[in-house]
Amino acid sequence: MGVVAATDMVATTGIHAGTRALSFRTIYEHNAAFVWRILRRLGVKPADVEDVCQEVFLIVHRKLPEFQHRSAVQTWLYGIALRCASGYRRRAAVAREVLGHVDDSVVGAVQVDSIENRQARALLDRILDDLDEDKRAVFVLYELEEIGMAEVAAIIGCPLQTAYSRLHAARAAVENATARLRAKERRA
Amino acid sequence: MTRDPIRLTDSASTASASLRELLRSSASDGPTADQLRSLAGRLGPQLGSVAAAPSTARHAAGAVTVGKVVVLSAVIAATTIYWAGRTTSRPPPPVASTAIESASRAPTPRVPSATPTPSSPIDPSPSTMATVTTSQVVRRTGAHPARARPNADRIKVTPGPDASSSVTVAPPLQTPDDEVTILGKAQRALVADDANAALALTDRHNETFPSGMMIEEREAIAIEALARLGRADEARTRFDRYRVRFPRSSYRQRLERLIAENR
Repeated sequence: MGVVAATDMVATTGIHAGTRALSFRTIYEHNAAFVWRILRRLGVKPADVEDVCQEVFLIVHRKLPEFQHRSAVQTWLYGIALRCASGYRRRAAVAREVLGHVDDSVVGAVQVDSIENRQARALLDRILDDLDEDKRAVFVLYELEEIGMAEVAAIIGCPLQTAYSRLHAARAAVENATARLRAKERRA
Repeated sequence: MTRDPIRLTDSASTASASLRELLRSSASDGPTADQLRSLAGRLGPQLGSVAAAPSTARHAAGAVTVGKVVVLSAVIAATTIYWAGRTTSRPPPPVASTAIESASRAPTPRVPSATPTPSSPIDPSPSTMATVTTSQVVRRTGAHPARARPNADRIKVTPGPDASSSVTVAPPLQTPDDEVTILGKAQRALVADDANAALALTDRHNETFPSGMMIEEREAIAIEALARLGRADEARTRFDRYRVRFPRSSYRQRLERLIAENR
């Protein structure tokens, strides 16, 4: 996870006269992989991650002069990524309705995952796709990104107890779905 | 303070082995080096590498568009406003043009396979139908012969309040993407050192989307194209307007440097 160190803070001129701000390049270099990963885990399909990742960073670039440093850079990035992923999922849902089945299994040729791992990842996608957006966000941030619950709640913008409730519900749903899908696989 | 629960991937957790295996499969979610290079290529203008970078094929293919996705997240909201506006007396925005030949040599920007359109334009419900005049429909379908049929299928001619007939038509599928696509081609043309094509495409965008969502990006591309063409006075004049209109633009510093270098 690309935490931007204090030494990476660079002064910009013109935009934030008299203040210190992160350069876009620094933010990108430290967080590109992280944003990519979180988008993937928030339901962006492999074939689309690069597009949505570009979307995130273009927004970052555009909004950077307004970034007040009231939150950590990664928290800010999470927020943008969450909104982009959410928009993506809404558009994808509409596309599926209109276009019929969209092949979600497209995997970049450069990926060298084992077949088993791909199958497992595809199954995880299906399970996460069944979670509602709020539960998915908490689950992904806590279980996969391994962020503490207090920060998760801050990122999501909900009370800590709400975040815990969502995590609890998401865990139950994921465990049940896993058992169900695995059982279905065994029967097939 | 509540202690965070043990994560499911932790062997001490109560998660089933099956679930743990699934969760571990997400370890491969990160990008490969090639994917990161491709992304950096697309973000070349923002990363400040375009001006210095050679016009390699990689850049031409990779630096897709300033515009292609800058508004994708805003497309739904913007399109909602956009189409809501169409139901009022506002004139409908014109449609996108066909590509300019010289810029079309570059590959078409890749459009997310699962995100071809915003929600509202393809919602066939009557509530999202907009009313436009016959001539506007003709202009739209004429501008997009290849795409005219899907929309034409939904066109319903209804009696208008005045002498001319009005047509109720579902919002076209392509509008936001086309705005993005035009500027994507302009950006690629710039990266490929084809400033003439880039400028022509920004002109086309200006004609087609005078109130578009990406005017800031269009103007930035146009100013850079003018500077590269040695039309320093025009670039400077346009930049003067730009910095008044977009005083907080992220592109401003780069454009200022560009203008200074071309004095």
